[in-house]
Amino acid sequence: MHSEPILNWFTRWGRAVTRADELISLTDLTIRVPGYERPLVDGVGLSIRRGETLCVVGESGCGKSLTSLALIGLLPPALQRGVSGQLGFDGDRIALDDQRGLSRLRGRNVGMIFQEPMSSLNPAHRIGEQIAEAWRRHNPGDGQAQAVEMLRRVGIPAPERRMRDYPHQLSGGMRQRVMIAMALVNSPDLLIADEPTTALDVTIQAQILELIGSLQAGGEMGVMLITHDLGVVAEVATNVAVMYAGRVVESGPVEAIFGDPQHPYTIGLMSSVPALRGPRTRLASVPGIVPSIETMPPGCRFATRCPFAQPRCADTPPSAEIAPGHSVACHFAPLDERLAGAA
Amino acid sequence: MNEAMIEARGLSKSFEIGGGFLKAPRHLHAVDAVDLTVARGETFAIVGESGCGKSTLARLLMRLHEPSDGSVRVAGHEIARISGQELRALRRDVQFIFQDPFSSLNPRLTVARLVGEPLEAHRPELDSAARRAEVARLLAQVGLRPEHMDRYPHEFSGGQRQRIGIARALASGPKLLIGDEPVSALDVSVQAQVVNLLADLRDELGLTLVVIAHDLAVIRQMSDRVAVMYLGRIVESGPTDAIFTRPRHPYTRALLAAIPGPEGGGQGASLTGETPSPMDPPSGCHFRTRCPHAAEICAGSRPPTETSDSGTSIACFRWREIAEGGDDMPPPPARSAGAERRFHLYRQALAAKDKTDKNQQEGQQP
Ligand SMILES: Nc1ncnc2c1ncn2[C@@H]1O[C@H](COP(=O)(O)OP(=O)(O)OP(=O)(O)O)[C@@H](O)[C@H]1O
Ligand SMILES: Nc1ncnc2c1ncn2[C@@H]1O[C@H](COP(=O)(O)OP(=O)(O)OP(=O)(O)O)[C@@H](O)[C@H]1O
Ligand code: SF4
Ligand code: SF4
Ligand SMILES: [Mg+2]
Ligand SMILES: [Mg+2]
Repeated sequence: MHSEPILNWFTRWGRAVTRADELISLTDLTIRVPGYERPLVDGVGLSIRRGETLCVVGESGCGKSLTSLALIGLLPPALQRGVSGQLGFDGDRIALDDQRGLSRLRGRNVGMIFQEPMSSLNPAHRIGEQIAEAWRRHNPGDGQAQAVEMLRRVGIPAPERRMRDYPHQLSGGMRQRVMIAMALVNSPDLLIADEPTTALDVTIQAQILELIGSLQAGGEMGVMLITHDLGVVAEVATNVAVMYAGRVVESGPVEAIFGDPQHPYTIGLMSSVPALRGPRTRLASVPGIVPSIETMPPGCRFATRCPFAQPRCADTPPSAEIAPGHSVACHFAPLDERLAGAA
Repeated sequence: MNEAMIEARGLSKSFEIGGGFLKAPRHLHAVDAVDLTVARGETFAIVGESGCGKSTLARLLMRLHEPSDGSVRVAGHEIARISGQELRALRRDVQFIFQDPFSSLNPRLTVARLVGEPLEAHRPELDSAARRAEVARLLAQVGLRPEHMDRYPHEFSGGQRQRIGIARALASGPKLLIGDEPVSALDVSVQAQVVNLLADLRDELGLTLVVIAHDLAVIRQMSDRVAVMYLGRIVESGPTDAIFTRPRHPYTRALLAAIPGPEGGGQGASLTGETPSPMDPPSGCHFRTRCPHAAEICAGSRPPTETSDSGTSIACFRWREIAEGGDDMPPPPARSAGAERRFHLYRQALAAKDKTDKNQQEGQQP
């Protein structure tokens, strides 16, 4: 009874998944930086099935972008040398330090969109040409027709004419549409979108999210969407991974994360977001800031900010599955009773 | 004492764009005949999408821009006419907080200098020891520690830098703080800390706050009254609760509907198209090219501002007809009972931790 409205609500983004096969599964991604005892990213595991959207959330500096770059082999060289872990991609297994294997996946199998489209679009080239070029990298033909078709699909009016525009002639929202067209022109299996709407106004953000959803709907593409906006997560996710200081601290179906969050960090993040309805009460926050690699504590990395921290938290909490698909890495999960004693 | 803190009438700012040899410049009406009143002690929020004129309006209120037309009175003084002593008093009484604390703080100055600088200007009677003590007091007020005084901005996190910016703004003992997106660049966790801090300071110091933001949830949390801007004009304004429970202007409604998530409007992209160029706005109601309710009348003239029974002012020809439709927002989804309990526990534990931290800190102080 209690969770019914949630279930009713979370039905927007192509969730009628027909084939439930795993597209990617990342296991034990660890990134070490020479000279530091504790890894920057520590034992991250994620999986995405076809047709599903995994949202990765967490504060700035939690390792969201590094995780996505590691799984396509695009980490900066200094970090790439310290990578270990495994990637399963559509049945193949690739070691994350195998640069050649990962580069084969990119382009054709993986499309990418970033927060700032200007950093990925070439300001000196017409947008149509840039999309066509992305097509030609993996296909025969000049790609002109495909570029026009993609621009039309991402909702750019008069695409034949717009093909000739340069990036600076477009608004931020239009540029993001062009980025999406470029990322999807090769029909990738996986789309990685790193904060694709953060720089956009809310009405334009809604259009872009709807666009990504409609391009995915009914298809086989998996999406990994990185964001710090819990509203966006609730709107588009099938599954959620909450990252904190280089680890996944809680993960599970979106209904479980929002309806029954367990990790103190997830609860703290959610408590920090002001409400749009209901009584206005003082916000609870998460005190302090994310530790850096220099100040990373042993054991539970959230211990320096967690209001429930106990001596036992100096040991690393294992990730435990507390409900099907819903995992939490906290010594005291499921929290209820023991917490009441602790508080 | 009852007079308004800010009273703006017909306030306008247009910028000249381009122009040159044999070519007339074009005009961009960044702020277009805006009326607003901010009462003493209230928090007044200005919301709207990028380029709608929020920052320009805020700068006009401080006379960082000269208006093209209209007037602004701050604490009863017509600010266009003041000079000398009075202008200095205005610069002391009205302070700004910026979005990006990093670019607004000189990286080569220590925190003691950054916060001490306005003290030198506005309280020259303090000697250097008294000034240092005052800086320490200001830092404590914004939740920083005295030992932070001799550090440089790059040694701080974004949230801490924003606290430094606030301490600096408070140094002159202002009556009015204007924040241009003061929490937009911060993570939600840190944003919540700064939102709470600003609310505490307002209550403790009796400040009036004007806050600019594009995040409606933040606005709702912080403000007593809200003005919604679109292309240089205020399209709807009024008490925060009234605006959020019964938005009347089609643009306000679209903004709320576009917020993602079960908690938000969650109605997806209710607006098509993008904001037109401010150089060439549509005739009549500027919103008509995107408004789902636009009719012939909307192209003719600027819509008059009318008052609703909930105390909001709406600039729309058709708001009465539109409001008839059911506009109650759906209830937010419920959490499990266990989750509710955990949220409650989290708050309790946080309060308890806060207390022990404070006690420890005080115990450590010599
Ligand atoms: N070469 C490096 N050496 C040490 N630390 C690094 C290095 N490169 C990145 N980092 C750190 O790794 C952390 C994770 O970075 P990442 O960009 O993945 O964070 P994020 O979660 O994407 O944050 P944001 O939301 O700000 O984009 C950051 O704290 C960053 O400072
Ligand atoms: N000094 C200037 N010269 C010319 N045009 C300007 C100037 N300052 C602002 N504008 C223009 O005036 C309009 C309003 O700008 P303003 O910065 O006030 O918007 P804003 O609502 O603060 O936007 P944002 O949310 O992006 O900060 C914009 O179209 C902007 O390009
Ligand atoms: S393990 Fe300890 S410190 Fe970590 S989240 Fe759980 S209670 Fe908090
Ligand atoms: S005046 Fe007309 S176009 Fe403008 S908001 Fe009202 S109905 Fe829409
Ligand atoms: Mg990132
Ligand atoms: Mg601005």
